[in-house]
Amino acid sequence: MKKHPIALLASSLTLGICLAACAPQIAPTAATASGEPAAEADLGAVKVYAADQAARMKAATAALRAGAEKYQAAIARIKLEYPDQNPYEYLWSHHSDAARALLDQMRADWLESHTHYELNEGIIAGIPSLAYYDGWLDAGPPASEDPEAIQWTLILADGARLESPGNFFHNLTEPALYGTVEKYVGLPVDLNGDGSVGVSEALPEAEILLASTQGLDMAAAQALEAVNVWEPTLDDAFMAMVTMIPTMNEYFEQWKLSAFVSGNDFEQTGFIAASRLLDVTGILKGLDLTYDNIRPVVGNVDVGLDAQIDSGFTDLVTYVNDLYTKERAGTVFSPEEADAFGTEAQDSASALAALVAQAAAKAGISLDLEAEGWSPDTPPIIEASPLAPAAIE
Amino acid sequence: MNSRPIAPCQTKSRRRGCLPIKLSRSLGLRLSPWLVLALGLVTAASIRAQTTPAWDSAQQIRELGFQAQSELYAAARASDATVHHRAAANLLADAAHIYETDLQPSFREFAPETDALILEALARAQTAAMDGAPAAVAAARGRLWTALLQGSQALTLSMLRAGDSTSAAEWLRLREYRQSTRVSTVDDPAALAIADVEQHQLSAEAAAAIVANDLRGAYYFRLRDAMAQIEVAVEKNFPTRAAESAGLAAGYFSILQADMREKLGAEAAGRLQGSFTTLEAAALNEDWAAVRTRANAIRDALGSYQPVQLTPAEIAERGHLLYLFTNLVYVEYKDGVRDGQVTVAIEYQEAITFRGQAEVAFEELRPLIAKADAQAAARLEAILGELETTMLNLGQPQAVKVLVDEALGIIASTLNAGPAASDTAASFAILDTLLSEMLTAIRDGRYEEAERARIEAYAVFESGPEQRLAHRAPILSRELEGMFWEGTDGKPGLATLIANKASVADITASTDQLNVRLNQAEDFLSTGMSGFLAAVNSMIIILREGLEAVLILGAILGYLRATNCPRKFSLWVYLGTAAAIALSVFTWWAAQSLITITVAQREIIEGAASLLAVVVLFYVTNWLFEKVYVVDWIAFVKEQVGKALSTGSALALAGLGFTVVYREGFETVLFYQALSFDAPASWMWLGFIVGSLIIVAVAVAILMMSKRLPLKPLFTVTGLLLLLLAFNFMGSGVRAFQEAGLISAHLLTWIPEHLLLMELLGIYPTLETTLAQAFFLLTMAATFAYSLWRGSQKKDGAKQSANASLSRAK
Repeated sequence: MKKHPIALLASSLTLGICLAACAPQIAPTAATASGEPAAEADLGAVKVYAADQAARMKAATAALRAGAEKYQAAIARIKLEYPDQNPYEYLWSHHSDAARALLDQMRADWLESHTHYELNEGIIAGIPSLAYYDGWLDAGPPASEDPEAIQWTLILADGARLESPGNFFHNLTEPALYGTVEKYVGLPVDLNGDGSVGVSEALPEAEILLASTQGLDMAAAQALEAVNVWEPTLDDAFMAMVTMIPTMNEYFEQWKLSAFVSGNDFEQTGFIAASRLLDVTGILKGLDLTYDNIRPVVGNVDVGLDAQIDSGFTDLVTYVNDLYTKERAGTVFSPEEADAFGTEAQDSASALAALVAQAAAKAGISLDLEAEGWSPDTPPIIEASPLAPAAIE
Repeated sequence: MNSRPIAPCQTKSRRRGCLPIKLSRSLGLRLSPWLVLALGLVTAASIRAQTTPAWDSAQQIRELGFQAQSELYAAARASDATVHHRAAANLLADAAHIYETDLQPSFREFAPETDALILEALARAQTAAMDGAPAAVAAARGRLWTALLQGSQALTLSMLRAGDSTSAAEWLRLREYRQSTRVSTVDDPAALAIADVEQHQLSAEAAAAIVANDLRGAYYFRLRDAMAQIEVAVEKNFPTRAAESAGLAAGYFSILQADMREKLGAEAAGRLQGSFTTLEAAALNEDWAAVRTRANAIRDALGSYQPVQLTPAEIAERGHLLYLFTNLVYVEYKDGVRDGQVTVAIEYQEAITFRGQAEVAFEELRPLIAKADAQAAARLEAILGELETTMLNLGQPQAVKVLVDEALGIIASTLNAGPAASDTAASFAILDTLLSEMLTAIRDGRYEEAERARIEAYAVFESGPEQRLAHRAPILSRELEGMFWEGTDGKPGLATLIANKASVADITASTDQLNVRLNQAEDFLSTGMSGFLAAVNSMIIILREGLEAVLILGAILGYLRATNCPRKFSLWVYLGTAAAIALSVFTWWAAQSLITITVAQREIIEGAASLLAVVVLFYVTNWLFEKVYVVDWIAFVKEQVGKALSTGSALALAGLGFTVVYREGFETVLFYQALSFDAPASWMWLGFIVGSLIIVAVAVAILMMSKRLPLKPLFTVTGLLLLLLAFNFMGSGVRAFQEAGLISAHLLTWIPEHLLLMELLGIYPTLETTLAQAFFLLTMAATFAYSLWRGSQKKDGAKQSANASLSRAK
């Protein structure tokens, strides 16, 4: 809307003084700062925990990367020396023990890195400034499933390009190491020697394994750096809890569809290395630790609410731990049981999230769930860098 | 009320099972009821002393029930199922004990019906556990948990009404909530209301109404969720899950029953009760056909139930939101998908988002719609489902349009909701979404798509909040506009940043600042407007817009009067003015009852009116210039006396009156439309009348003064004024076309973006507005030069003829 000179001039001449006295509010003032009860929270402990888990993850991804480089070098050497042979068949027929040992080691390294990530996921995924790494490392879908997927490019050593192929852990490295995606399989083999080739018994395709593990290691390094420079705030802590606690349903659904519950009828190509329940325990541990360190803030404003939240965490953590313990002890839950467990967990989580949101409100912390998180200025491009061909032993 | 329930304590310590329970678990056997009783009596005093909070006791009961269920699942895998059956029964006995010890005394006194429900559910569960019937245990668990919630609700309200808000607050901790969504947390108005009672800011009765409303909303949500779970369980052939959900649904119905009886009638509520009982029985018998039939009947019967009382304002707000979200689904989708392919990802994603948001809005309004037309509510629900399927399958935009149009028709006819800009809250919600999508596109490097989202966001801002802010907070309004476009206070705005492909961090920071100011605007607009303030605002509008027109017309009319032009001159000006006022009144009426003036239409009309005014002003200014500086104005004045008005001059004067007044009249209509959303009508019209009287007084004063002013300075001032206005209109007219999207906007960073420059001179930092104003100045200079040259020619001619005459005379 336009206002013009004559009107301004005339208005000021004719009515200036009298209207100035009774003019409506022109513009609201900036919001006043809320009370700052952060002093009693130990956010430093949360930072130490997150940085420690991120460092452990990084160490494990470096080990995994080294294993994949060694594996790819071996395949390259075979290709060079025996160009007419299937390199994986040659490797398995001539060096099966070494190949199995290397694969076992890589899987162990993968589990190690992923476990430390999950112990951190509750924090990383729930904080806008860090959440990008959750999508890139662990949770983001590929562009084939979601047009809004994180944009990035993985270039294999042979020049093949994968555009927005999803996250490193469950869309790339895990399917490659466990053979759940056909194109990532070098050769199906009887790894456990039981006379048949079952689920997850395969030698990985070397190029995708090399590129994805090198990429994972680089992404883990960036995530570690981001965590190290992160200065946690009370807003971050509450945001992480409110955002992540209600996601139980999703995890239990993935568990239900994974090989751990559905057996050979599994629909998830990820979550085969470790049960999704382990991930849930890790996530809850990180969130529980976060709450433990900000409890005084809630206790200051509502002792009863603090007790209820603490109890909610205890119950939820205990519940999932018990379930995981039973699964590890050999119990194979039916899909209906898994469904019931998931609903129960979700109900508890919903109630807990509501309580935490109330606690935040009572502590004068306003949560902006739509806050935009950090992401790089340009989509990352990661190019594999193979070592010189070398024998596996 | 002569006694109080056991006051729930506020201790942080938790008691996970009392002594008999721990003993029974550790010994792995069931203690005799007598021993339990004895031990219970012994420990009763200590239990009372440390009194476990009600929510904690209820949670323990729930956990024990779930453990019992797990035992029955385990029984299906075990070689000896009876061990697990017994264990399940023991766990349920533990639950019963906790109930009897911790909760029953209060429930028995304040909610005896609930006590009976709990005891019945516990008994049913224990019997079913011993029988090894997991589905029956599951159904009883559902009943048990919801009965605990029902009891807590009764206790909360009883305590509140009895003036014991502390106990009410504690009992309220035992409750459920609606599930939070990706973008919203669960608020707790009930707890806030009780806190207000404690601080003497709210009466107990008022708080009780808020608590009841909040809990009904939550439990109705849970009831619908349980009904949805039944469908899933039946589809997957999960009998235990189906029974559990049926038990929960029946329990939530029990909580809501009294309210349903009041709102739907005793007969309908009675039928529903029968339906829930039958549903549970059918689920226990695994009679899936009967479950489906009964579930459908319940869903139909619940369709018109409104658990939460919405105020008329809330209904209007949500209705408008539903309309806008539904409308935006097609607006975004048509640009996002073509021939089964996603062509513009951000548009597609926005369409998906808006459909989801429409569904959320619909959920709340469904009962209201159903009340107006039950079939319409069912159809709208089906349409939203069909939209989701069509869009996920990347169907043709035309198919989406057909569905959206049908949905909009239903919304308009049942909720009387439309695209009006009266609901600012809805506009802010949509702004949030669009800015969020814009940032997503920026992060992915899709700057063109981000720009599209930015323009959409601005359109939403300008169609709603901006209209209302323009008068109540004009500085904030202008600042926000700057933040959307070129910038403000030396900081680049979103348009500038996106055009320059600025970094994600910079654009995110700029958006964050914009969001902060938008939040302030939302807070500001959410506060009402007093009558006095409304009158003052109204008066300012008519003064500001009216004075502008009056000053121009006053100058022209004064000029005409001063030069003693025939009255016909003035009459043509009055005629044009009257036509413009008539059209303005018609525009007001049409905007109120016939049409909706969209943002783009508004900008186009404003732009067209401005440019038309430029043409007329250009003509009039040249005319004045010629008369004053080219011809002998005294001769001109004399010449005009008694001379008939030419057709061209008449039209120009009428056109001047018309364009100047309608341009302001149209803006005035829009401003008053926006003001009417907030202001009491009587005060608004009072301000209008007072303002109009002042304008008339100013007009009369100008006309009277013009007679006394020396003519040449009056012409000079008038001419300059018109020139300045024409220059301003040229810039602001092109700018309006830019804002309507008809003309592109290329930024010129060397032109400062300053409020005064924009307001006084119509100077905007864009290439197009600058070129238009430069063109205007050049044309003006050329025509003036031409007039001067013509004047000098005339003078030369006159001199020559004078000389010739002189020569001849000599």
